Amino acid sequence: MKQTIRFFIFVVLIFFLVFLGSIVFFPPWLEQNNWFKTLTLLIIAGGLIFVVEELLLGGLSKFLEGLDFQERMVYSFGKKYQKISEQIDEFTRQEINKEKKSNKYIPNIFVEVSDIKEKLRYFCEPYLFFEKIVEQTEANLNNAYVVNLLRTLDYPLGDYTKQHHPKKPKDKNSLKSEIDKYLDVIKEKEKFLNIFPDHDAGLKPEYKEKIPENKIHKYEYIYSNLQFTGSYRWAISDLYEDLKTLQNKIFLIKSEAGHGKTNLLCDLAENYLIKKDKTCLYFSTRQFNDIGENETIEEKIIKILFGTNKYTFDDLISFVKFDKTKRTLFVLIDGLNEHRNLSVFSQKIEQFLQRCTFIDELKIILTCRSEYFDERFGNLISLEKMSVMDIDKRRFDERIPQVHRKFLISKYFDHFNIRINLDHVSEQIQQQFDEDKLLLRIFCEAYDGKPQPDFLEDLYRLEIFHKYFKVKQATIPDLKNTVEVVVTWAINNQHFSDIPIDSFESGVQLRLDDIAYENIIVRKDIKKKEDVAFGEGEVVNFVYDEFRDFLIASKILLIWDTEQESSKNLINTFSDPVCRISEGVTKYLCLWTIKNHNYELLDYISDFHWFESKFVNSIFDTPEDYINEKEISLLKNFFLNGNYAVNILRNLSYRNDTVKYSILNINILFDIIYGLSEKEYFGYLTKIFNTTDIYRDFDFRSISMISFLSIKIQEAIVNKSSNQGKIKNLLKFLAILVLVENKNFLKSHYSVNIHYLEEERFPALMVLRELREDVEFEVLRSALTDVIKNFKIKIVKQELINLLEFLEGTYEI
Amino acid sequence: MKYKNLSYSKFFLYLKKLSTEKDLLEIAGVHPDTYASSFVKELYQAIFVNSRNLNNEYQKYYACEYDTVEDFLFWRYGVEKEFFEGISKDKTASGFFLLVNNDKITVGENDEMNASVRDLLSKLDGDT
Repeated sequence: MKQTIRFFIFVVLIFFLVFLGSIVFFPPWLEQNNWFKTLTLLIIAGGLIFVVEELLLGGLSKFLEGLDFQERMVYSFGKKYQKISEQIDEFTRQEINKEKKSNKYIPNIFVEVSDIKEKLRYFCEPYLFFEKIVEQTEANLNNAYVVNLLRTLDYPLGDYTKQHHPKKPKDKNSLKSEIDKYLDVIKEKEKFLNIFPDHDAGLKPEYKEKIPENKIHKYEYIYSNLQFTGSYRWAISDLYEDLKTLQNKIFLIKSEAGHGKTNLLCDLAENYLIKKDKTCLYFSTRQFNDIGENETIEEKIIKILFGTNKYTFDDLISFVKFDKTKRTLFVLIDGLNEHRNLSVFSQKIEQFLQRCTFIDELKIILTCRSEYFDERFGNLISLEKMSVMDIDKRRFDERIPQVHRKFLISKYFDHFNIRINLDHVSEQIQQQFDEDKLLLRIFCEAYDGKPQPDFLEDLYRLEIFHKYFKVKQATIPDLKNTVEVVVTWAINNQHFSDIPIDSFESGVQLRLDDIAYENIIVRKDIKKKEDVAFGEGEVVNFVYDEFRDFLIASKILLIWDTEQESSKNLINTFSDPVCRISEGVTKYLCLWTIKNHNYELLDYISDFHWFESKFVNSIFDTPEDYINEKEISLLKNFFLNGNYAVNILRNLSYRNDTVKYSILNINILFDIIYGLSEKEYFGYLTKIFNTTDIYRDFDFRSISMISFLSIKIQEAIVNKSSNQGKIKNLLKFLAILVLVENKNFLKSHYSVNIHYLEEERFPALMVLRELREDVEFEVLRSALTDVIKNFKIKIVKQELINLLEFLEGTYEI
Repeated sequence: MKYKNLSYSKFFLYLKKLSTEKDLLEIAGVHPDTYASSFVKELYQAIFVNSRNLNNEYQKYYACEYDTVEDFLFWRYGVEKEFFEGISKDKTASGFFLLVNNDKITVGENDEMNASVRDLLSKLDGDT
């Protein structure tokens, strides 16, 4: 009461003062008509307006207090959030560029061979993709195999095929409500499966009755097919998974090493989130390596992003909350397994994710190697609102679709400055690159910015690995020494995989961390120790087995120079077929020996049983510059006396372009055959050319090598895929083989649909007769004349003369 | 009309226009209430009702990611760029790229029935 009286006295006093002030300072008031009444009303009205205004402002500020009124004002009128926005965009752009520079991310090579990117789209934009999920589920259910079968029976499908048209959700609540509505629809549609009996075909009797009388005969006919309900069930189970993904807060992608996690994440950031103007932060886990003991992931993110603690993680959240076009902050962290202290990091990331599930404006996408995730981040599995997807388990097909193959190789070439026109890369090499992306990567890195061939028809692996290792040495500090330590350990312990990382001193371990980060020479793995109850440890493996064998062979060669006996012991041990690296090490020993002209070593290894096969393959895997007379004479010797004559013949005949292959080419084959006796020609050579195990005609029937080669040569000449010089060499080759008999020819007469040349006794002779139509006669004559001049065997010579006479009408030598 | 088989039960179809069931029945020249008419109706359902309109999907969901509908179809469905040769830019924008997923209706090369389906769709689409 007292307060009310005081308030009343205060109001009267104020009124009196204003009244007095008005008369004293504005005397003309007194001259107005009804001045007392007018002034009194004016003062009361002014006072009331003031009170209402105060009440409104006070109420509004109280109301907006819970909606970050002050921060909203800062967002609208200050520069703080503009700076935050700019820094986020700039940081992510820089991080993605870093991944590009380190070649961990190669732009535009991502092909959706699994459905994970689509699931990521759902995760990132649930309001947009909800409608698509419903539409495609409805289409899949209506097109399900059993539904179509029942349609043909005029079975009353009723509401089961009624299309559901959802409303487009605008926020979290309407999404939840639309999802709930659709789940009700799906529960009803799921009841459709009840019409099929368990573990049997057809329909349950009570449902069979619904089929019209005139379709019962058809029902009996398709009865057994009415059990394949898979497509209907899959549509529903996919839907459940997709609806969960829409509402989840965390998305974890796992796969084995080198299966494209970083590429997928960077592609998502660059080609999806950034293109759609979403706010995203991309981190490589290594940036968290120095996280403090008491530091949270949020604090570390701010430190990485701004370098100071001027801002907080809440500021990032506020930014997307205030900007209606953003709504969500996407935090992408690549390679959880790459952290130096996994036990600490796995706890910190778990706590971070737990906190994040309560923030509406945040979504997290993580990647991790499968085995590390299972062993070291198992604690994350129990987190709520998390989708875990395994790339390896969701791939439709191991291979890149044929239509994308060329495109992808050309993108790799562009990224690494490889200027070779893809039309100049042989089909065989394109296929090798397609099947072995790591080899493609190694090739590209090895030749990035280096002189490159115009045509790529041979892959000299030793050269590629050698160049690649040099390139990497320039970019990774102390690579050579570190790898040598690992190789030496492997050689000394005869242990070539799962090399325990604690076998090395801490300095080497740290350097191995850096090398493993690139994931292309060595990688770190988790290895369970079966003999210890809680045992598991980190090990080092070479990513590419062949590269490891290349390194081990190099080391043996190095030892050969200083300690020949030790080197011999190692060759003996490692070339034994029971040794798992024998295949690769012997191959690279041969290649190194040829390249370095180390004839002392060549003589030593030539006594081994494996030498011939390895040498024959290696010589064709070596650039011609390294081939000397010694190697050529060994090759000739192997052709006449060895077990791999077919290989030699095939490889030399393939090298019929003597301009391109100036040393190791078809002329060596001509020399060998010119030198044969009649007995060798009709015996040994004919036997070689009648090998049938690997040659197939167009219908993939096994045919003799002489028919196969004749078909291929005819094809090359008729299709004009060869130049003049090559055509002449191919014609000479056919001329040399003119009396090589096809031993299958009689048998083939009784076969159906066999290639006509397989029915010929002398296929090469037949082709030469037929080619007159397709080859300029002068070229043909010149080729035949060359062979006639050089051949020793009279009967072959005479046959060629007869052929020339047949072709020319009259011909005289 | 152009088509491309994607797998045993999926194929991809380009049509200049969407037709009605009545149009299809008329072009097919089938009598009502016959086996042939039920087949044509099934065909209609599969192609015009239960298919996915990829042009719409592109506009609605993927236009930000892929510059053109050709890029989208190449990367997502493996439809070669050559497929679009002969289809003008206008027609690409106004035409219909349908993804049909049906175990019964196919347009593959190796079947007389498939040849009839292709023929029917060509006529329906006004191809000469």
